[in-house]
Amino acid sequence: MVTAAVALDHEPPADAPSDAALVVAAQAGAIWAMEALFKRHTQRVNSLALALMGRDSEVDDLVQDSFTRALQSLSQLQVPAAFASWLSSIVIGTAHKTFRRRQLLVRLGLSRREPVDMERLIARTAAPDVAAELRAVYSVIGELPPEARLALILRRVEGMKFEEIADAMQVSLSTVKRRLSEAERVLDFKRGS
Amino acid sequence: MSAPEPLSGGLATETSPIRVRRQWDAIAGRLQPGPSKPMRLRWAGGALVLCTLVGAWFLFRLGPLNLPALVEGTVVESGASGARSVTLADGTQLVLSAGSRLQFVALQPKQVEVSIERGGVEFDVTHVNGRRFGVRAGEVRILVVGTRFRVQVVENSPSQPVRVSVERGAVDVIVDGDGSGPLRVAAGEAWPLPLTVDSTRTEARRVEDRADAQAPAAVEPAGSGTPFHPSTKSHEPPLGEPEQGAKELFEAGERARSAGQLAAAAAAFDELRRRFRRDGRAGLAAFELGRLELEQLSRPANAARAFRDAIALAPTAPFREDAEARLVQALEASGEQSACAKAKQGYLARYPHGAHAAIVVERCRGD
Repeated sequence: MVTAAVALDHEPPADAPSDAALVVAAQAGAIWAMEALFKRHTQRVNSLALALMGRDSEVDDLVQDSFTRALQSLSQLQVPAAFASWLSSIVIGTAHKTFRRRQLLVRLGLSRREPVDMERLIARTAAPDVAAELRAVYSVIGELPPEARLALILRRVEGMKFEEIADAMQVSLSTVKRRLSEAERVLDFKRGS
Repeated sequence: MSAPEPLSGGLATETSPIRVRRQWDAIAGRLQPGPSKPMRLRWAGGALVLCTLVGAWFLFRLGPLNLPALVEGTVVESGASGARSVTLADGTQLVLSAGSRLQFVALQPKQVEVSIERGGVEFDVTHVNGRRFGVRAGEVRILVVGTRFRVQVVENSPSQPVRVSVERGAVDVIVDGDGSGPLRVAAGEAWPLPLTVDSTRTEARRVEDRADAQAPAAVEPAGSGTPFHPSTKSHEPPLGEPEQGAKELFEAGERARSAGQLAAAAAAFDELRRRFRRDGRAGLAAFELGRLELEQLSRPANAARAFRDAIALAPTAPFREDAEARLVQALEASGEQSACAKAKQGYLARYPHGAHAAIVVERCRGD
């Protein structure tokens, strides 16, 4: 499972209900439990959404779509304690759909690729080497197919292992490596230029 | 393989209470059960959207361009007074300058081949896995991965020169009858070769020599006992040899820094930026060297020289602003007040609202 993605925003107090307990209550229709799950995971999901989309203006839609989809399909979650990683895979899957839809619109000439606003994306407090690496990654994502873009961000920005990316994207390990290789090649070209 | 250090902490994630509340309100609103649309209505809506999209495709792709459906053998010509653009289904765009003519020799999922008969064409090629995209102009063939470049055929010239200039990515140029293999032309480079096969390699080497001559000379520090080693000549391997050394040096520098071997890290970055000045990593290596000299090794004068070199090596790199800000810091720390003030003015002129502007403006005030 996605171990890198399961870290909670802040560890809940010892006496706070666990994720599993909240999921069970939410599965029974308790809105308060759903809200508690949202608040517990919103910081990390917002961060992941920004990393994936590369644009703050698109974060709200992804966060809302992902949480709505997750909370509406809680009955499908077999292991309540795995809520965090399951939620992450939903965020990634939803972002993937968005990219594919956007790619189609671009091909149809109904939309165009918009460059990433690095000044808004990268924190002013980011270390220069981190900022430089982020700039390099986000300067190429527009040129990548959706799958390679996701793989590159999960690897370089989120720091996930190959196995974790494969789990999150629901593809094989070799597919992940192939997509990453494709993305890295474009990244190297960019760096080389 | 271990995962790289996550960079997500460097993103400007904004999760104010107001935003979180707004997000939850939207989610809660969508969780409320509402009247569901009848299935037939959903299908009708979907069909309408599909029809609209297909119609739009024909309207935007074919209508305004007044092109026949693109098939192998299609010839596209631009008038004498205006440019014309063609967009393929994958988003690849070809812009023909006035008076140009090309033909789609091959137009298959796995291979696209365009032959330029006259004029100039600018290509912005979308990378497609497993597809070969080639351009032919006279005896010159260009193989593309996914890039933006321009090919110009100049008519009425005794040698019929073909010019290739690459804006993004890289292309391989092959000349018929030349057995020495493809010549890589990278972003920012041009390839002004006459079509005379015999002279191709000579000209290619000339291009290389010019590029070497144009590569910024190393900025060398004064003083001894530093990791700098003065050199005025690039030691980059000749054309065609792999540039493994630069990659290995950069990785060695990173490893040494992670292990706390700061002098070794500085030496590796320094060697890279001296020996491989045309490598894409040279600028970043100089930048990293500057950071080490300034922050870890407390040698601000060396740091200043390294930052200057980083800016010279990679003037358009994403880290330029950081390099300029740190140059100001290094010059202040080394007591070079006049140079500091000049660098400060340069930074503030270039980045009046930059990430480091508030700090830079406070530096070298004594001057």
